[in-house]
Amino acid sequence: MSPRRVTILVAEGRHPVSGRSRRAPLDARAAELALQCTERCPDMDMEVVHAGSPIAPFLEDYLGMGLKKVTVLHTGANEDPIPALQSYLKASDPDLIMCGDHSNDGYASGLVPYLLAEALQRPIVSSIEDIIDLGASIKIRQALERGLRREMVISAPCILTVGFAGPPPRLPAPGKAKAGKVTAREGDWEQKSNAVLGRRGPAAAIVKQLDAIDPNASAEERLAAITSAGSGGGEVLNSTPQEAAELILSEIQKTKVTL
Amino acid sequence: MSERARYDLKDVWQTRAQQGRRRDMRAARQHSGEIGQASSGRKRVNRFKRRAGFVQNGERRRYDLWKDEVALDGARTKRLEKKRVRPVRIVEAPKSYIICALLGGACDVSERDIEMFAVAETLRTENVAVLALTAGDPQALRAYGVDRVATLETSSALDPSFLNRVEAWANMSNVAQILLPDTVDGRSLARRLAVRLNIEPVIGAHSIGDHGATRRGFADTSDLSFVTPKVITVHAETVARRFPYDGEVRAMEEMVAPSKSQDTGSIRIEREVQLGPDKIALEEARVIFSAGAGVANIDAFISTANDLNAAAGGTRVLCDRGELPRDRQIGASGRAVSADLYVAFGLSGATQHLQGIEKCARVVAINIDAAAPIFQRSDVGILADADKVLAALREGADNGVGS
Repeated sequence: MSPRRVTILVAEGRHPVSGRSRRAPLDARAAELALQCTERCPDMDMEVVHAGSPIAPFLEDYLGMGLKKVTVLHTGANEDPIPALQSYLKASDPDLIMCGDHSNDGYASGLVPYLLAEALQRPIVSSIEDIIDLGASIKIRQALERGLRREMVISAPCILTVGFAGPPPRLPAPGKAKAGKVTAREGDWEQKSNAVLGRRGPAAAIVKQLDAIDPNASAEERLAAITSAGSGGGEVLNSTPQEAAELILSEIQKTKVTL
Repeated sequence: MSERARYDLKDVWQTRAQQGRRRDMRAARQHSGEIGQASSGRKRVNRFKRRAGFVQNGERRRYDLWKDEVALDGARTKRLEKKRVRPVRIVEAPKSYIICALLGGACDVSERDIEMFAVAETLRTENVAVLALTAGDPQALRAYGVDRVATLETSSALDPSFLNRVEAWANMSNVAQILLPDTVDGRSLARRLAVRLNIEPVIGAHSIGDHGATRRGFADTSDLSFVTPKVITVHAETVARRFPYDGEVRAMEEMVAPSKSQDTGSIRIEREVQLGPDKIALEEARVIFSAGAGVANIDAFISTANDLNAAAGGTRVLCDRGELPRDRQIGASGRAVSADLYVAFGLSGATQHLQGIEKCARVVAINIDAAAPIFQRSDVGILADADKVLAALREGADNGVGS
């Protein structure tokens, strides 16, 4: 049986320069991926869930993408969204839960899907790029570092989080946003205030650290440490182009072994 | 000292430096026999010798006066290669541990792992031991100041038993920090672990030290500082890599992991695919072919690189000429790359270019000029014409040697 009910968790994002409220980039990618799936399997039922205020203007950004209805679990500004999401998802029990790898505004530690996975006892895969097949089991592609992609099979019910390799989200259309519907839900979940986790301060410039240089080294060595780090000083061969080509091919072969 | 005297001294220094340079050049030319000394003291230039050493490479003219000998200054390389024996640090009874978990198979220590050990080196204080959890060879970690090693049979982030084992180690009463590599798998494991331990992880810390760990938050507009972080993944280049001591890599006895059931057995890896080198950014590439002004046929260079599954990059000169797109420029004003293998075709290795390839693990250089600075950075240098080597590579690839 293919997964029929998909729930997308969305949150508020913020423009990094203007500070204006908008959709979160990764949640929008998750919504885009889900929309592409519904285009492939039209009998899929899609629900969008947000924990927060039902009158938040950024919800229009999601509705404008073509998501027809958003269910808002009404929680306060400083309230922990986890109990609300947990109790709602336990009741609705969707086959597939999707969201971004991490939120945009707020702490953005990416813990929400993992907390839900633990609470609902569901497997979770992060940083997915694409859903290849929505059959009895779901075939997905995960984007790893250095252009490596991992194709995985996971069985529903499960949680998938979408990374920056996911599909770029479509632009919201105001007409679709007006046609969309926001349903607010007042819940009986446990009210818990958000824990204060770290000290918040203005963003300082990130300083990239050069690899340490021995202060006792000579001037020449210190210069060499800046200009030519890493290996070096290897042998220089006087070989024919054919020998050189063979050497390069064997070097390429070596990198494949250590992959 | 009077003002005048000071100027004189400066002049003397400058002259000495110039004299030194001249002396070096003169020694090289005398060595090659290009110049001799007439009995009258007048310099005698051997024009035949000079003509014989003439090398025409594209538009550039060069005189290879060293001929078959390699023009590396012996004294200088010897000094750079001077072997330093590092002392081994022994922590007999550590009061606390910093745990570093290595992910992936039994392969070499990756760049991210080295960065992780550098962070551990920064965070450690007196009587703190670094404990590595690995499925690979413990001896490979000696150079990174690892004091204790626990060998696990698996280190796959998707394996639930691995998570259970890491959790068991993390639950030891005297664990100060758990460090994980800042990769997709590392971040995923950090979050799973944080959920199990009921703490807030610091994912992607960009600054770390005595003040704790700091990462971005609130749409990258704020910094969030955590004074006593427990689970941390750290960005690249956050701390300087400095390992003053070798580690003891003493083996620790296996912890008995609690058998917690989590339904992750329903995840199965089908296969792993590597995207083509032209589909990913240069920074992500594992193998890079790079061209300089010594490569005449750029189209052939690019097609050879693509055939051998290497990303094609080049120097500023080539990008300025419009032969390569600007996003393929490697160097200080282009991309800084960190490939496993970097093959430099016909580029001499200007300082700005070398800055861009600092993080490359292995460098192979092909150049016709034995005095090119790239040969001081390369692990293997080949004195040959880049275009001819590329042609030979194409033949070799056609014969199926490289695939």
